[in-house]
Amino acid sequence: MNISNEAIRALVRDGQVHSSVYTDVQLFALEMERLFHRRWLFLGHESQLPEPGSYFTGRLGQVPVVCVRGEDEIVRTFVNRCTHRGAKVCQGTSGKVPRLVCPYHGWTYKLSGKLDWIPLREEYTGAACDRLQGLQEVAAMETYRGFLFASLQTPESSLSDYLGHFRSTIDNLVDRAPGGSVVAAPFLIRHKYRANWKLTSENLNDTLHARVTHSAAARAAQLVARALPAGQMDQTLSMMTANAKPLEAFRDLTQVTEAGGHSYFGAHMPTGYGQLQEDYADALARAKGPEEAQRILGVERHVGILYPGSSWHARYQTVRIMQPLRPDLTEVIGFVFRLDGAPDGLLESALNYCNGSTSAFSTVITDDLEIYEGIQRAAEGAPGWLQIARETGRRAPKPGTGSYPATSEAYIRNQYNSWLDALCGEAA
Amino acid sequence: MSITSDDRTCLAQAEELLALEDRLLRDRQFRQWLALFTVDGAYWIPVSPAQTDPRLAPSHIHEARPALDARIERLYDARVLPQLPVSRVSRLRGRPWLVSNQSEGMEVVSPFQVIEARQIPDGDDDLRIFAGECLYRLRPAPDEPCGWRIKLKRVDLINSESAFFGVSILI
Repeated sequence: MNISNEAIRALVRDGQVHSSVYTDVQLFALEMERLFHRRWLFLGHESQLPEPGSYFTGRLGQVPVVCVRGEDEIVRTFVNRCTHRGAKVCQGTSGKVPRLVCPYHGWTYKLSGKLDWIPLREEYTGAACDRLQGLQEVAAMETYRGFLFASLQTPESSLSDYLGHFRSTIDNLVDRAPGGSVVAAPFLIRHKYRANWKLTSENLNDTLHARVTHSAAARAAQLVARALPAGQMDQTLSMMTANAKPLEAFRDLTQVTEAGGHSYFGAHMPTGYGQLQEDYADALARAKGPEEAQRILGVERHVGILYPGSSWHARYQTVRIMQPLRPDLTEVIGFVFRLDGAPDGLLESALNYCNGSTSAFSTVITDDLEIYEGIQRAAEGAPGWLQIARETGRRAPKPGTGSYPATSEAYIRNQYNSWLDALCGEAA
Repeated sequence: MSITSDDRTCLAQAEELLALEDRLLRDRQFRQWLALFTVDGAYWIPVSPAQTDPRLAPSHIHEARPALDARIERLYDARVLPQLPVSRVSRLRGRPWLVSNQSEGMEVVSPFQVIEARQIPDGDDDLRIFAGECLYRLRPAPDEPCGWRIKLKRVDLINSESAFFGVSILI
């Protein structure tokens, strides 16, 4: 790799970023090597691995991995590649197996990753014996409140330090469960788009685009809402019309930026689901006590971005992985979580959000994808400087958190601070 | 399953309803299309054929009214970003077969292929195939010309687990 740190730093200057960060193949390779392969990434949830032998496959940056629960109940993450001829060991997206058996020549690994059996073992002699190895385990794997995080290379910091203030968003998701735990729904939902992964990160806390980009959806929802009987409202319509709020209403919300590139802003979608919400609040108050329940429900945040790989919405029980595939191709994978002890209807409400924010068929996401793909094509055909300067006066203090009006682009600058740190080889 | 003459009549009516549905979608008569559903009717595109209940896991679409009204009203808007210009759609429908026929209603399944062409003026045009089977749960509606309304339309795409690029058409 021959891009100097100086050249990388020159791509981000006061309030501007150069569009080649979306298109350059070498930069993408560096992002994988120095950002995605050295940071903690969200992989899934321990409820997806109910018993020894349960596994699911995924990716850490460009590397295919498999997460397996061992006989000793410990969850490990391995590079999903046979150490013999490099074939993929675990097939499909999930399943349960007594051993990990390579489908190419039958090399067999224990759930702990250790080599268990190989054909014609006696024909290996001398130094070749020493090279008979178990599956390659990732450098670090940890669970935070049931959520599985892994880092391919030795990470820059402990998981706890990496999450930092963002722990409070994850805590809030789990604290919302009256029974004390959350369970991943049995299916994931995916979409992809022909543009760079950062365009999602840079859009998820962007409040200014909502009323412009999603205007057709908002107009349609307003039209339908007006025809509903007085007092009746629908969650999906509420979410679609919430995007049409005046800019002043968005400016009144708070954006919080955190060390490591993370950020979130205050919730802007209506909370009321009538009786359901009351039943849920009662269940939470019974389980946690009224004061604690009030504190938990008072943490009202819209999408939180855990930079660089995932986004979190505690109130709508939804987590999404942003998975770069190529500089111009990205996949988004959505998980929805059931809150143990909550009324059944609450999951439906979460699903309305998860589907609306992760489905390729969403009346809202389709708008965003069109924007991302347009930016990508323009960046390829007409490279140049792009603006990220709004509300430049207040810079995010480092380390720690910064607080801005939710109309600020501070969260994007915060992401690039962290991006530069990683790509230029400095700790977050 | 033995087919009675009542079954044959019902199936012929279902076939008529599905042909009408295809015509309405072809002509972008989305409000008339939605009127084919019962008031509590739902449109469901699961992310897996193994999905049994849309209330337990995510779906590409699981909507009833009024969310479905908003979905189709958006398609009438002149400024839907991913529909500039509007996709051209070719719809092929296979003959439906009867899954069940009871007093409260019938279920039919019909294979389909939908081909979408999307012009992307400064990019590569899209030509996409959506194929699979649709399950229709129909309820008697004596006031309707076909005699039935759609309580549930479940679209099982053969690649339902895939990560799709944005889709703005109705399947």
